[in-house]
Amino acid sequence: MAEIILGIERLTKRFGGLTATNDLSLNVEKGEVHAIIGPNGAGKTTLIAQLSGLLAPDSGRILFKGQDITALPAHTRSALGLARSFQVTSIFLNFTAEDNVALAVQAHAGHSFRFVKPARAQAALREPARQALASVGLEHRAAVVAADLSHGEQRQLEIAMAIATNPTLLLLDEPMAGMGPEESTRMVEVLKKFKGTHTLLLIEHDMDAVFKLADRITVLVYGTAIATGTPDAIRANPEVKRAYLGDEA
Amino acid sequence: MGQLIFETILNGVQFGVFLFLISAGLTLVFGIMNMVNLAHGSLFMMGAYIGSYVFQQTDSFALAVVVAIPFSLVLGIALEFLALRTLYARDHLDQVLATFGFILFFNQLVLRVFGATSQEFRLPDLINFPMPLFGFTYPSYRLIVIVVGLAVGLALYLVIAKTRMGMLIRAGASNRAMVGALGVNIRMLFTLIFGIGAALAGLAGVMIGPIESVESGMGENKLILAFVVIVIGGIGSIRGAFIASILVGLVEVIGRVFMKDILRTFLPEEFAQTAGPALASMSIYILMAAVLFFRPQGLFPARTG
Amino acid sequence: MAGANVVRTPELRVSLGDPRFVLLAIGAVVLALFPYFGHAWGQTYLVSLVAKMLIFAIAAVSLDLILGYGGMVSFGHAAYIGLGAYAVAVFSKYGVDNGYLQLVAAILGSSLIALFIGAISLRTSGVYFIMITLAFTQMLYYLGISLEPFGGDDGMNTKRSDFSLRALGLDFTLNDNLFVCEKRVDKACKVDDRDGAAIYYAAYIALIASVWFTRRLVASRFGMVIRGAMSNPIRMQAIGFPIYRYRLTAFVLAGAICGVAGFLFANHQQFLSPVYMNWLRSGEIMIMGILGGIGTIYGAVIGAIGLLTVEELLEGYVGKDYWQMVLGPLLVVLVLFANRGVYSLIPHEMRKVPMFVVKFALVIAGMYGFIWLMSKSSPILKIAGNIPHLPLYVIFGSMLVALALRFRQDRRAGHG
Repeated sequence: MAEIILGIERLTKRFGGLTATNDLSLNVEKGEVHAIIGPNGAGKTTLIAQLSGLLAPDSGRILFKGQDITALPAHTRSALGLARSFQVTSIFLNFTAEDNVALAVQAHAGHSFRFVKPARAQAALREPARQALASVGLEHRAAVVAADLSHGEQRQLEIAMAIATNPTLLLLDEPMAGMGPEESTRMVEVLKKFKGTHTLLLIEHDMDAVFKLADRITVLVYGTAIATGTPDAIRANPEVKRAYLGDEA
Repeated sequence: MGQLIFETILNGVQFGVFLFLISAGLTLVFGIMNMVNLAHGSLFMMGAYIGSYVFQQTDSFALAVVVAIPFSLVLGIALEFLALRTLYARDHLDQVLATFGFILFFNQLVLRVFGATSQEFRLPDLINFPMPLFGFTYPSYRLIVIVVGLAVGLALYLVIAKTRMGMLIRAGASNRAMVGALGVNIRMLFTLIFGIGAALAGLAGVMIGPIESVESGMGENKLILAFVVIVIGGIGSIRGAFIASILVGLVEVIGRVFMKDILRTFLPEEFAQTAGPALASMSIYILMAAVLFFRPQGLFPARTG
Repeated sequence: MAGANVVRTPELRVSLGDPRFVLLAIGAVVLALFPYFGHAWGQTYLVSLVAKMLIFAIAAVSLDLILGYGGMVSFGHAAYIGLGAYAVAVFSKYGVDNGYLQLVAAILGSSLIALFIGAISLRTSGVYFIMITLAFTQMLYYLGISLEPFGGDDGMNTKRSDFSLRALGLDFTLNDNLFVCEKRVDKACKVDDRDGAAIYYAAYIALIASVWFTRRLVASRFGMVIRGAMSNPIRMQAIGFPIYRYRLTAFVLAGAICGVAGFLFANHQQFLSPVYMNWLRSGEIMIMGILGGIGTIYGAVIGAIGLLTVEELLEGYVGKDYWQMVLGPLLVVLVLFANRGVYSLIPHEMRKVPMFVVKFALVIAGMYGFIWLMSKSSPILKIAGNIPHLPLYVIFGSMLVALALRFRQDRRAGHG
């Protein structure tokens, strides 16, 4: 019986008349890459917002490593080992790539009420940062100001920042967003390296990437999970086909 | 005693509608163009100065009002068109700095042109007499100010709620980028909004001139009150500005007159004597802090995007 | 607009190859020696004036910490100057001239009030934060006005702090001179012994200390948190920083440093007035920082000294009537053409220095010429057939021209 890292129980979120998350339950097992797919408007980003702590659900529970984190704020969840990347790149534009990742490392290195020693000279922060950059293939761009990185590189930086904290669970919100075919392939290679060593919950539109990476897939339609299973099972599922392609399928 | 209470409450309302005239323009400019305009107080001051100038030349209060309004409108439009529109793209700090420069300029301008003494500005006896009202008396002119203020408020409400331009204004206050994307001539809309705000401020200036002193720097304390009003009311909301101005007006005036007495009921006399005036002047800021504590976006926030 | 506001000016290098370091080092040395020469040349007024600039530089530096690095636009920062000043005045009024006590009180008082104000204000953001910090300052200002025992609206005189350590045989107050002749002894000495060098050096040392401390602070782990929180607060929370407590700490530190400035200011002026806490004063300090360049610390120093110098010069040349009127447009022009502040205009490579010096000299010459023209405007008025207030139109007109030019420039660059 695989260890359950993330347990979502009957999660519900409404915005006025719109139900973005509808009584959703799903499990993420340790070491797996679990992808969430679904047509536009399915509520995927709302789900991630509730998981990472930026949005409070109306009802339901979120269990992380067995602990109920539903009421915990974002920074506390991060300290517990839940890291996320953002769909719309959200990095520190005025800092270099290495600074960005070092900040993520610093967040998990105790308190930061240290006023005198220069942060940029501290190996305890810089070394893990460089390693994280290397793991996504950005080590040669470490000294570049983040605003000057290409879109694909910024997405890679997003991943590096999430990885740098040695998280138990990685929540990736559309890591391929806005990427062309070459960049996507590169990103898939990067993510493949984390299979097995890390647990990933991946929200994605790019079907190629999803089928290459995922161990299990959940399909979300209008806030409801209509199917969960291996990639082959999902591919063959008639309900899934109908959800994506309409009734002609 | 009844007369005092009656007069104080009405004075509070009068001060409130006066604040509304100033805040209306400010909240629209801030809400729609996202611009901090510190020079708004100067527009108010210029209205007062032009009004008093016309009065000194023609001895007619009516003429003063009639001239001051279009003058302020034109001044506002000119200022926006020639100078301030470059600041829309800038961040708030730059706007603060630049419009602060305009405050300095206008303050010195009036000193230079009109001299340092308070300007002469009187009301004709025709409209300035104690008027019997509900068994008490109240200065007729202040009543006129209240009526004018309420009329302007009503007119603004009708324009914003019922006309197409009003719809654009509401949309702009709610989500500026969308309105621009819809192909509306944003620049003209902005200039128009700015001009209307300036005209209202000028109207406030010319109307308040006779009952307060017209001098350099008179805009600044009103400006800060106007900012308090729009923050309490919710930035970008005319309705919010109206309700907040009445609220602030009442709190300010009632506080000034009755704070000592209120404190006397449960504090020893010496405390009431010293704490009274202090607390009275702090009261509107305490009000603002309290409102922001429970509703951080103000009472009627217009912004969604 | 993503990369547009990102500052890419390289950090100051402590080496003779960085013109900014050279400039600052020269400045520091000149300022250190200034009182000696000032007194030797009988220019004691100047020494007092520069001391005032140094004091405001401390306030501007403390504001830059939270404004330039933390993004906290506090319009209430002048409150801490007032609080520091009140610490001196209140103690002095009750006969306690001990500088050590007063200084500790100034720092503690400012810190506690900053803690209170910050705890409430930092729960808001954006313009609401600006307004609420403003409101608190106004509250303190009105409180000060109503405190009759301390002069209320009119303010009151206060004595300079006594830093003597009698036990060690050290007799020293901030009234002392270090270079100047003793008035009692030398009758030819015309100097007012209030303009002593002691207050100047107290300010100077405090400024150096503040600059050193804040520079270390912004480079430390703490500083990184503050800067990250300004850049992207949501991301900071997401990676695990509870940013509220760090911001509050920075706010308190800034308040404490500014309280020291207030302590020095009361000593310098030997006068206390609630007007020190006015919101317009807060605006002035902010302008000093913006002019010099926010987010650099050194810029705040340059801005404070620069603004007060320009104000003084303008008043001298153009007279009391005009100087604010010229300053106004000057600020507007500066916003448009140098909106990262003076510090960013200084080249960071030695080879660019000659060009910079030439441009700087031209600008100064232009300003002088313009101001001279204004001061000599009466003959022009006569020639122009008695057009009243002609300089007014010239000033206003040139400001509008500058703005219009910039508008066209922005339009062409695609911003309009």
